[in-house]
Amino acid sequence: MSQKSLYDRLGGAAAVDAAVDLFYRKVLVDDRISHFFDSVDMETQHQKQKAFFTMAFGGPNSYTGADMRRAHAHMKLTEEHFNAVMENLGSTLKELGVPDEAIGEAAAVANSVKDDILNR
Amino acid sequence: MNGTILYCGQSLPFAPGETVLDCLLRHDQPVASSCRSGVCQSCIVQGQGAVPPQAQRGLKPSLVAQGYFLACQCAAEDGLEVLSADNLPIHAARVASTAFLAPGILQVQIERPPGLDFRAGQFLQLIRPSDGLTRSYSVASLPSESIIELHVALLPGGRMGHYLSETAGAPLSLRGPTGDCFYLEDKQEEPLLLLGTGTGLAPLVGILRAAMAAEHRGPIHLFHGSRESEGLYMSEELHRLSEGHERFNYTESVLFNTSNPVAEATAAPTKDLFDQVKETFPSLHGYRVYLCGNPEFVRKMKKQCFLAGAAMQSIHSDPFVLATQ
Repeated sequence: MSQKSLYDRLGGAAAVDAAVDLFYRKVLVDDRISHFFDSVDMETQHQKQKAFFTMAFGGPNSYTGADMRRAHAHMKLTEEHFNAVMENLGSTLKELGVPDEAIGEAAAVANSVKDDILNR
Repeated sequence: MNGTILYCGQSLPFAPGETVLDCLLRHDQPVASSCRSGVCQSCIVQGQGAVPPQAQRGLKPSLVAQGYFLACQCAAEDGLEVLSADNLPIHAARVASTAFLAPGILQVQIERPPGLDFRAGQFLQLIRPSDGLTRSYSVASLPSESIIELHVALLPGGRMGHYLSETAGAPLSLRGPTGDCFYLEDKQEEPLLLLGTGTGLAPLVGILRAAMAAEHRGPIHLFHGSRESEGLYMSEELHRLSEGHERFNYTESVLFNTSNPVAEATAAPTKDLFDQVKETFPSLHGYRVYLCGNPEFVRKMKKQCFLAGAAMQSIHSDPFVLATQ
């Protein structure tokens, strides 16, 4: 008997879509990090969020730590920025009724690339 | 399975099991890519003819309708043709007539060349044959008509506008169509919100006409914004349409009411278009939104509509960016 991936358990691509819409709206009005999204094309950013969530849920993706590092290096992100994003990730999943344990799993995946994102 | 795919007129042989992306990259073709998992959509390309639907998963409906697909999710098939934006065919055409809709706003009617396909609301590149001067304009008319209708703002020093208004029967080359703003035939129940400034009204009128021709069942709300009241160049016709159609509403938004200087001096400031939309639609969940015209307006309104609950896939925008050469 094989354990379904978190991605499948949460509901696959449809779950990612629902989560991203909610998450992106939160981030756009979170003063700690909203300015990072000011000059970026919204649709492009939305797609990147989808890729991020797919990765956080352990879904199909081919991102490497180096990719994440390269993508975020120029932003000079701090611990506070990272925590703000994690907070929004958590509250998004909670709002969607995802069980705490699964939220923990998604957070763990996101945390695993923390050093790459903070370029340290 | 072996064979070749077609890309920019070149036949590219593919290896068995290769995806279109693999094949293009192996032949050093300039295609962007990132996640290689069908999520980031960097590798989006446009196909000619039938495209495997599984390679279109996650794409906006307007892109699916135009045959776009994700190269990393598409197994290469013999004879599959991938288009490039540079490769769209050119059609010779001629201006049939012009007429002023308002000071500085010219309606241009072009004889429709056979073989040029488009959806109302998309835009075409107009190319002046003598020197290749190129400008894009959105189509306000339906593809079923024998003329193509454009609304051209005549700007000081605007070379294409000058050419179109001054040259009787002006010859043109047309290329296209391009653009995300067009009516979706299979979404007849959706409430539509059409928001535009200046000649951004042209594509919206095209979409409105297409929706009415398709007997769209959901409500349609059109807002037109202009700095001055004389810029509301289709005011009469749109008011009439709105009176004749229960489900169509037309709202004007003016920043300075130049036809009544007394009112301007004494009345409260006109609510701007952003506030009007926000107050009229506290939630845009389930709406399909079309935004055309001033780029800052389009950008700001896109964010406002998304935050009000419109899905990203349901927001279509066409910012009119001024040419710089």
